[in-house]
Amino acid sequence: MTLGTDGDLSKRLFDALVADYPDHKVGTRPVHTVGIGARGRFTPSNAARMYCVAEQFAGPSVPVSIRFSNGSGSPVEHDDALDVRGLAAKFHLASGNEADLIMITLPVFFAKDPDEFLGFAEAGRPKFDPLPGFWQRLMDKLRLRPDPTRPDPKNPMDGSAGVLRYANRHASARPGTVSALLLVTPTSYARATYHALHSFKMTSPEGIVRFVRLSWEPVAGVRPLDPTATVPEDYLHQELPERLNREPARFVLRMDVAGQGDEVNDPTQIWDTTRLRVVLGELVVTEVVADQTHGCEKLSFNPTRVAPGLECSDDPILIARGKAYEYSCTLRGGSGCPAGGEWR
Amino acid sequence: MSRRGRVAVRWLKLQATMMVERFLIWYWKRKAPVTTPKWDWKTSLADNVQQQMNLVMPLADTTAVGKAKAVQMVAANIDELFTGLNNIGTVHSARFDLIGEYLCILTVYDGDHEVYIRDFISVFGSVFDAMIRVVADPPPWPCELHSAEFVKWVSDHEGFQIPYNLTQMFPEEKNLENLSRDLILLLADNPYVQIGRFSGYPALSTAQIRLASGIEW
Repeated sequence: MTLGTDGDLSKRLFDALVADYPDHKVGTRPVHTVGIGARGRFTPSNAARMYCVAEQFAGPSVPVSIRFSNGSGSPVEHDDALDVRGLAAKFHLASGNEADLIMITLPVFFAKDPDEFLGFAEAGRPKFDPLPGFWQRLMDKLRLRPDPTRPDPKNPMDGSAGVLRYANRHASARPGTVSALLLVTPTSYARATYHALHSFKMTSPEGIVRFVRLSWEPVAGVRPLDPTATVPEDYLHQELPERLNREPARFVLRMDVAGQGDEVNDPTQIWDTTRLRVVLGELVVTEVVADQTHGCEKLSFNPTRVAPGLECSDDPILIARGKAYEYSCTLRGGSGCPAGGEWR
Repeated sequence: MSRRGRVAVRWLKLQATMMVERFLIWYWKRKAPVTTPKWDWKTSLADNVQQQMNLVMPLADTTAVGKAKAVQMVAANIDELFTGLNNIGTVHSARFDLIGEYLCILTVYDGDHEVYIRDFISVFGSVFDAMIRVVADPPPWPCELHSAEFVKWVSDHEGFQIPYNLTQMFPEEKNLENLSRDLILLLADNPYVQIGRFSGYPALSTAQIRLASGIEW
């Protein structure tokens, strides 16, 4: 497959995602469609200033707009579904600029370049895959394979079987697919760990350049939902304002610094867990925004909108995402989404 | 059915399941064997977090008599062990445990794994010589004169970390549905594994405190 111009590619990425959700509603996000907006403040750690000259780490603290979301591109809310969750943060800097950080609950991605991503998205088109019959299940047992996952009764058409077949043919899709199989449904948006997937280039005051991966870790800890529990379909939306009325939700921004041999431009690669870890600061989420239209749905984020000092790596997926988000933002009349902002 | 009856049925079912599983493992080990690059999972290129060594050694005599000999062996060498651990300087903690029929040395340290084992040999090699006399499959001793064999033996007896994402352990596996079987076959051949590991930030080691404070002890 040969990709065309940037604009063409953005449209194709957008269309590929939308095609995975037949009930997608025009004028909404192609994925992470259902979300809830909140606000809070980010306070950098003392260590952050030693590692990074980006404005959000200069201190003392900056206001942040936050959007928690479910990964699905369907406009129908299924908080109880086994799905990726997102935490997008927009740092409103003292200089008047804005910088974004977009993270999801998957630690690695499914594709290492846009070509692969288009193939992956196509493989994930929802299809009805019946459960294997008795003989197939018996054969699987004899092959020491796990029991097949039963389809979600609320959503019997899904793309998981197609994704599995695709991953079996494409090595770079395998780590992300296995990670997706290990996903859990959180009890709260504030009780999940979120990862930025891509590497970013971080510059210190001495001019030392490091490649880092960033994560939000909940101070309250990760807590999955009991799989046997019955919860309302919008329980995450109900829970967040109740939680924030009681007390703020806190997240620590952690970075892993790339070491020798770590692939920094490939979001499908897992890094060693023994890398240098540094806490860059704390995000305190204080309230759900009253105006969810402008404070959440129309508010756009872009993973390439970063401040000098914390810049994009050459990860082709990151670069393509930046342009695709811009395209999507324009289509739905969103705000605040230019890739790179005025720094670009 | 009575409670005893239910327990008996459950026990019989479990035995039947295990028998079938043993046969399937035997079959698949021949049909689709897995190779384990396990050493990759013990070493770290980075020196930024604490490292762990989990040495698991089967006892030669697994009765309480044999276990008592192991306890007495450690007790008899405790001065040499503690002095040696202090002198290595990069050890945060070291435990000598009897777990079932195994003598275990579980330690947390800073730095390179092989350098660490060689430090062990040089500071209390004679304790290791005493220790390996009570284990079932000892390496050649004295270990100071067979250091390469000793390092390899330690590697073979170390509980290595199974990565959380199995694609890291089996990068050649082309069918994700076979990953669970690969894991089963790996566990069939590797009794010592670590299934969860957290490496904290390096704390101050004895060597660093000595250097910073000038205090010797």
